[in-house]
Amino acid sequence: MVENPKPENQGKAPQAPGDAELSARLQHLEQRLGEVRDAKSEIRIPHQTARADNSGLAKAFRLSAEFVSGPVAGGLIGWGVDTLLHSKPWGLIVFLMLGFLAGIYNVMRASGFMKKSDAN
Amino acid sequence: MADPIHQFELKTIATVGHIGNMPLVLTQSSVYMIGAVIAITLFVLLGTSGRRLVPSRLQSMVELSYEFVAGTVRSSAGTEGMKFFPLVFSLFMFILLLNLVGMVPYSFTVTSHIIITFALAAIVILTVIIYGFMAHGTHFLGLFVPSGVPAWLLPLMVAIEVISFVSRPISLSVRLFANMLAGHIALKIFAGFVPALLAAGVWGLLAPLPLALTIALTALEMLVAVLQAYVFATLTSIYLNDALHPGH
Amino acid sequence: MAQPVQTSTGAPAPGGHGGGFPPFDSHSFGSQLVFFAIAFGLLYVLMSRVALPRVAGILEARHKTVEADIEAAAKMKADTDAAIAAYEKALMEAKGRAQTIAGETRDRLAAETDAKRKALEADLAAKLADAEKTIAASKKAAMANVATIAGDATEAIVKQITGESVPRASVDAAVAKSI
Repeated sequence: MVENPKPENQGKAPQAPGDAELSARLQHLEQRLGEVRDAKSEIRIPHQTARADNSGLAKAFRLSAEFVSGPVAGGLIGWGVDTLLHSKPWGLIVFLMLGFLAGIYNVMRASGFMKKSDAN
Repeated sequence: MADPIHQFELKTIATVGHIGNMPLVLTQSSVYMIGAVIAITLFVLLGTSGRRLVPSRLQSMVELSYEFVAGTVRSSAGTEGMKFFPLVFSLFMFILLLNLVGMVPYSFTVTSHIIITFALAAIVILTVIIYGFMAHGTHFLGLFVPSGVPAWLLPLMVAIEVISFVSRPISLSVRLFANMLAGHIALKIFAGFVPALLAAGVWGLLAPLPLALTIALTALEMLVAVLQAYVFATLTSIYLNDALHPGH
Repeated sequence: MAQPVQTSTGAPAPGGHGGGFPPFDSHSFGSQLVFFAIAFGLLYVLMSRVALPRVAGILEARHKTVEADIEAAAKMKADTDAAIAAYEKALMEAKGRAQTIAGETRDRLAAETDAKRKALEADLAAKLADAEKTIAASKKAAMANVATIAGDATEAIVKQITGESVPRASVDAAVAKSI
């Protein structure tokens, strides 16, 4: 008992800086593990709300055709209705107007001006 | 000046056979498409041949494209949308490669032909319609009935929704086709100015101007080539999301 | 949009089917569609059956490895923490034990000293009492002697002065009264 403290003290003298280093490394490890865990949980969360329009330029290209396609589709449908029902040119006129509205609708939806109700 | 339309001409390589009385013609466009398929397949297979934990350069390129498309699908159509991932990946790589190959001088741009872009869009829309009806039956038609609209406005809204749906393959195909076509025509015209001005004596001093424009336009077109593939993949994912969740 | 361009350049395309703007030439649509279907169908099958599962496998394997490594790191850290805690606990216990042993030793030594001191004190006290007794006895004896001497002296003095002898008892009583 009287002998013991001496070797212990001798052992402690070089161990003290090692202790500090060890605790620093442990802290670093803990921090890194926390970071990794955070990153993982971030990936897990599906960002459903942020629809894929992350690139402004891509969005611009989307919008460029979004409007034109409405009247084109309306015209096509109108032409089809006219040939089926022999109602020339009324189908074309009505569906072109509807197609125009659909084009505006497309642009509003694509630009996020009118949010689709994604609640469910 | 060079004819800017000439580059879009199909050149017959061989007449392979007949379907009815329509000749089945192998053109350079078909060769480009088949070449693209081989190139994409080789790219992915060679890239993954090492199966390395720490990827090589080619492997990380493959993984990058995989993760990029997967991210696009996931953010637009959710995790459920991943069942369509092979389709979106095929579309994206096919369009991207053919767009980029089209940027090489003297090459042919397959995506500047409306029938090809329309066929690509038709695949998407048919997938949406077929999967939508298979998974949801008549509930899929709920896609055309917007919620929270007063009853008197409903017929009009349904008509607009239907036209809007029909317009999707049109906008999808026309956007890609028109961008590739217009870009290549503009490039050809500006590039054509350079030798025309050089041949016109004093006007040759102005030749660097269209040359600079051509270079700038080439850079822009490279960007457009990539962006169009990305936009196509994004919209495909958004439309597929409608097939997964038609009630909105 | 394309039509004016076509008319201004004018030249009917030599390879095309009867000229016109090539992308809108519907004669080529059939063949193009057939080859497109073949190419894209092939691409889709190759991607979905062969290529993409391979990429997914690689990514999955990497994900698993990374996951396992992180888990191992977390476990090792927990082990290290536990070891440190155990070490600190043992250290505290040892310190506590050392303290109790030191305390016990100190108490024992104090008790021993105390006992020795008490024995010594008792011894001294006894010796003191003895001495006091001796002194008291000596004093008593001395006092008795003084009374006798005083009586003798008084008897002699009285005899000298008065010439007659006084009874010894009354002399002793008078001496005892005055001392």
